[in-house]
Amino acid sequence: MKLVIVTVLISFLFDSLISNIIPLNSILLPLCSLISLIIIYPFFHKETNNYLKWAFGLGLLYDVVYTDTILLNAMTFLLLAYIIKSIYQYISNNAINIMIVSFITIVLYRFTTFLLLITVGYIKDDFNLLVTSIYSSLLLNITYGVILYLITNYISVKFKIDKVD
Amino acid sequence: MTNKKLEKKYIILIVLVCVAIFLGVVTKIVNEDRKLNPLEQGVKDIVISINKVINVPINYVKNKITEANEKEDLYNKYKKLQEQVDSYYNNVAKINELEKENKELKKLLEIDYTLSDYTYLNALVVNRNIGYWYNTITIDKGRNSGITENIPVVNGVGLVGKIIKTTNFSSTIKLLTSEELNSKISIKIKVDDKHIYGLLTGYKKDKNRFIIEGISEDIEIPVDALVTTTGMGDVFPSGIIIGKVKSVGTDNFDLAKIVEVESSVDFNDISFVTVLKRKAIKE
Repeated sequence: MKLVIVTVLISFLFDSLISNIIPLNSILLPLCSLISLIIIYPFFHKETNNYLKWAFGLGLLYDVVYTDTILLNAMTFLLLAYIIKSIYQYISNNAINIMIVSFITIVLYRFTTFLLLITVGYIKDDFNLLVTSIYSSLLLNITYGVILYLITNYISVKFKIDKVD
Repeated sequence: MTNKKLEKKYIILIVLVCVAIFLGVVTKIVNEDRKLNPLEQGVKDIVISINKVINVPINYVKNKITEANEKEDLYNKYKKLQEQVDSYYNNVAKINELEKENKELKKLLEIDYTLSDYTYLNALVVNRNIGYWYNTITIDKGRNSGITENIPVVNGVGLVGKIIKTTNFSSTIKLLTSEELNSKISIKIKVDDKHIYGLLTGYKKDKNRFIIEGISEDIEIPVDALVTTTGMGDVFPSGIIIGKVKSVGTDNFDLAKIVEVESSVDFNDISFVTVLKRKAIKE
């Protein structure tokens, strides 16, 4: 559990840190918190309900600290955690699959929030905006996902932490 | 069979009601006027304080890099400044005279509250638009520093946005690049000794340019003319720089002028901002 806490916490703080380093309109937009959801799932293989609670909690924290939209990201993170859980029933946990799941999660996250915000009239239905938001988030976050997987995998092997592969 | 059909209908109805409620909640929570509850404020303050500490070494390195880059251009800057020094004393005298005139005119017109009276509060940017869609940044100063909602934020070169949410130790700024903010601002373009009025109607992200429509007069607008706020409305005072005119065109019907203004602020890289706190002054 310590590894899960550290992974989530570092990823959460990374979102802020990276946003301060990279330009606002770059192709390296951070979604590290979201990626940490993918990485921590294998550590919850016996208690998936706890995993969903973690996803909701992380989303809520993301809402409160970064976006001021209480519950919006909490619900989205919960939905995505459920999808990640479903995907992991069919695939194994390795670097290639992390890349694939990261890709799917980023696309779904951007699409869901875009859809919600145009439905409530907060943003205009500009499809280019959605495409830009997706491609700007892929490179950095998929790379981050793979690096985080390699680090957590190394630590879990070294300290014999139970997880599903 | 009929029961099952009825059950299905009820389920669909319940799902639709849930979706409607959820959308209603989302509408409410993305509303800029929503006040943060005490728990949200407390959590935000704690995490922002941690972020601020983590950002210290990052900002140090960033500043060193900027410093190094600026050093390369030091000689050119020195030359430019030397040219400006000649006119400096003339300008100081002119400003003193204008200030005196301004005071007398205020007295004459019995204006006891002026929009141009502001105190300046510098703040560090701790988060930059993490939510992507919201066009917001967070600064490390909040209500404890006297910041309230709906006050303008600038940086060294122009208008950045306005404060939309505050906690004790942080504030959220809506950037001028955001559609709901930049479509409501009245501006003026300086052409010779005259001002032409118009409205900001949009922003082109790729070019960092604002669009101005509703130009008040049929006068030729030169490229590089200065665009500033007019002071009409409650938030932005008169005279804050928005940018310089880059192109002047007409709409699809060839009737109205459309002006593109290059923003003086580089919204890609905002690290420090200045909050303009309004103060009531009795003359």
